[in-house]
Amino acid sequence: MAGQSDPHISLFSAEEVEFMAEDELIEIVPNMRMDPLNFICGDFGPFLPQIASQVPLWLAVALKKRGKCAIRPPQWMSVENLTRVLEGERESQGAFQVLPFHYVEISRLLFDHAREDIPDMYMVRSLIEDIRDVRIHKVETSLEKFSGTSAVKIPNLSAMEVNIIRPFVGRALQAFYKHDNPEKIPDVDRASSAQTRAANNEPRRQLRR
Amino acid sequence: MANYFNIDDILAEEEFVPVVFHKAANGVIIDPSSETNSVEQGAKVELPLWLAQDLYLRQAISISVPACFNQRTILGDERITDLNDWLLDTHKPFNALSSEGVLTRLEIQADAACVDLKSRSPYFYEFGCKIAPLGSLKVTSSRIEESKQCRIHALSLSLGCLASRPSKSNWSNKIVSNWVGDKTIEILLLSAFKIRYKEILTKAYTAAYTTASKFLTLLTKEESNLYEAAQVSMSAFKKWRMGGPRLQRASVLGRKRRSFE
Repeated sequence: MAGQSDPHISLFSAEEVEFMAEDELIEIVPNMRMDPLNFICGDFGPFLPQIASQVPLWLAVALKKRGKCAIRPPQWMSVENLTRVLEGERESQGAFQVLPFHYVEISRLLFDHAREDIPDMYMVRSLIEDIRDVRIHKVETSLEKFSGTSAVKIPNLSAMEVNIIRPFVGRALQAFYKHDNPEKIPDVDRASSAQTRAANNEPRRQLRR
Repeated sequence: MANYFNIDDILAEEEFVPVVFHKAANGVIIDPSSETNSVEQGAKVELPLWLAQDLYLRQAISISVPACFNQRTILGDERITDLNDWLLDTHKPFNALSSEGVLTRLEIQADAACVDLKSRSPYFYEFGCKIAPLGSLKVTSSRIEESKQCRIHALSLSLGCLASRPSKSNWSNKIVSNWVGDKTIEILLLSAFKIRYKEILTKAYTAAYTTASKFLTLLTKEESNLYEAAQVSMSAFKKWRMGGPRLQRASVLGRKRRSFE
């Protein structure tokens, strides 16, 4: 899947990352009766009032907009869990806490469309914002460390965080690679082909008559 | 030649390098102020890299290190003292260009992040990467004799213009080390980039644009590309986080329908 945004700036725009996050499953409690839905990505339903079922996030948001269901916030989105994660992020300088790959996008979609379904909405929201800021800051400090390394490993990064740093890191690593291995500069093959020409004492091409 | 149509690559090759002609060339106007349309043997001129590269491979010229990479500052201790003595010397043997080169290296060693590389060369890294392999070519080519001769020639030239200066025994070493052909350019590029990379990183993600704008003027083209990549992706994320209109109206929809008759 190729991004539609400018390929020179970033592979995906934030909106495209959000689109991908909408495929994550989430639990809803419908308040209507509906037959099962058969999609390419799987079958969902049947939907019965007050019986929870798993659906993709985009479907949950669409149903929620029509007032057909209530969204159950995921397990990790509780105040206790988020407080624990935030403390862990602040304590450990190098490592990142385990959070869902799309936590930034999922939380934003739920805050936009399902405010009343999240208990302690304001608390949860500020916790997630704090976590995100701490993590982005940590990403930057860990980027400061590499200097000419050939491989970089930062586990537990989320999709949005990767997407933010991708253009910068890609270029920076390319530049490090280039300056670390001067013999691998692509210019070399041009120079070496010219070198053979010089060694042969300037062969002059015969003009065709 | 994957970079053939890359505008940055073309512009990087436009940078000037100082060269010395080994052979006289007729019918060329390299220096518009000269009276004749020819270049004498042993003439010192500055040519754009793309031209110098090809002439060099035909062994018509020899290339000196451009002022911005002049190497004589990555040195052992004993030569540092030598350099200081050289800097203090009132009879500076080289022209202003080469003393600028020395200063560039000293500045990079002191604090690479604050050096105004853009004014040295807007394509400092690209240019350096192109200049560096030319030196190794010379070593492999079998015409060391010729290059020796040209060095001696250049030596006599520069000694000639400094007749007033008392000659030193290590003088020839200094001049010979002025030619392209060593690995220090690559070391210089890497060490400069390592330090400046950190500066770009912190400025790009944290500093506001207004505070960073002063810093931006110091960056070479390659570095400002890097900075912009980080800046754009961060601001795109912030914009997404703030929300706003999810759907944009197509520009044609807002227009009034043109009335016919």
